[in-house]
Amino acid sequence: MDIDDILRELDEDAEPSNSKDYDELLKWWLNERAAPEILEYQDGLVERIMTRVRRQIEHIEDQTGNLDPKANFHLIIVQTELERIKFLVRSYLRTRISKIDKHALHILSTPSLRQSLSATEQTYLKSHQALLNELYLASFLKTFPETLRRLDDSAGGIKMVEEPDLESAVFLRVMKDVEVDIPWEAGEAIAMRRGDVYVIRYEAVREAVKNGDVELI
Amino acid sequence: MALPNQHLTPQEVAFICESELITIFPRQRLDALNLISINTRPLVPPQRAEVPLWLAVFLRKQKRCNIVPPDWLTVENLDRLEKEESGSAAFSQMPWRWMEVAEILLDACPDDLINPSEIALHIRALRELRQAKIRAGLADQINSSYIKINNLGLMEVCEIRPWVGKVVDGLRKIEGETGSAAARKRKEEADEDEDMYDDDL
Repeated sequence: MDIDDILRELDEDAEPSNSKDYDELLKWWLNERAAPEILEYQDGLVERIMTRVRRQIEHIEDQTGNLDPKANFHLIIVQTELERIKFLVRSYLRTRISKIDKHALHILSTPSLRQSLSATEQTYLKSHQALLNELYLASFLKTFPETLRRLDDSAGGIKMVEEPDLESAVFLRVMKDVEVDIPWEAGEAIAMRRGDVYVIRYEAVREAVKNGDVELI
Repeated sequence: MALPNQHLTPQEVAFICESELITIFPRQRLDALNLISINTRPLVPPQRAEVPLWLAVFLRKQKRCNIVPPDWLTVENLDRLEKEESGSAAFSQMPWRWMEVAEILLDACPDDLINPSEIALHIRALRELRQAKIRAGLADQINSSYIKINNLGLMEVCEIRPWVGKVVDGLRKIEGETGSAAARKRKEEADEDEDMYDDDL
């Protein structure tokens, strides 16, 4: 971080510096990869990164005709970096899509989870589910008796809707000192110190992940 | 690209590591670059500069710079750490990305390190010592409600993650069936609810 970043941080309305946004993207990509449930979509962040990506592509298009070897070398670096960013964004979105596919019905029936999807992800979820339903109905469900056609049945104690396992173990690194209650050992709490690494059930740190106090790895 | 619902692959861990800043010793001028992740300052030969590791490795390949290895990556320091590591049961303090940084630097610029073959040997010895400790130490801890694994690097964490995660989840399920204190309590509550329901009927 150089002096410009520090000055920019003082000015709160200004858009965050590019290195800060990049670190955030890395962090949310890692969180998304590790968390069992789908997290809040980082709308502003992805938007800012994509604006920079578009600007960078324009820059490359402008400069491609430039025969100066120095400009050429610059372009190689710029392109290499562009590919790295594109990989990150793509992996972030694909991780989300794989979770949407896996827990589609659960997300559809939980308004708070639906809120955490981006507009495009919501459209995807709905149209993909509609297609699937149609396919299932056409290929086999229509031969079933009426009462057995539901895809979200929970009769007999077994749910058909797959839900994320919030109790699964996650690995995390603490970024800010934080006190975490352990729900399964009533009344007990762990004081996590910055820099500590823990293995713990996801439900205990769910809030801390959202606040950015801990980062999943 | 790895399947998105899998754990981080070693390549991805290295990818993350390549975003770290490292000090270089430029051999050629390079104007300031406005990249998406960082705005670099102009490189002027005698002055040291900080750039992301991937850029440093790239410039090094073109012989446009030398990389200044981090302080801890010296034979003396690694030797000290190795003694410390074998002398005590705790893990000695290593940087969060020690394994990846060492691996990348040994691969990209052995000439910039002092005595690279010796360093590689020490890194390997450290790694083996620590792996043995992880295996021995986790067995005692794994049944508790959380595990603290301070001083392990990211790569080491990712190495143990597939099986530790599975074991912890597996134990939880077994506990849930036979009845740990918490699970029993939950079950009792559920039974009570059911009783109330029966009364209503």
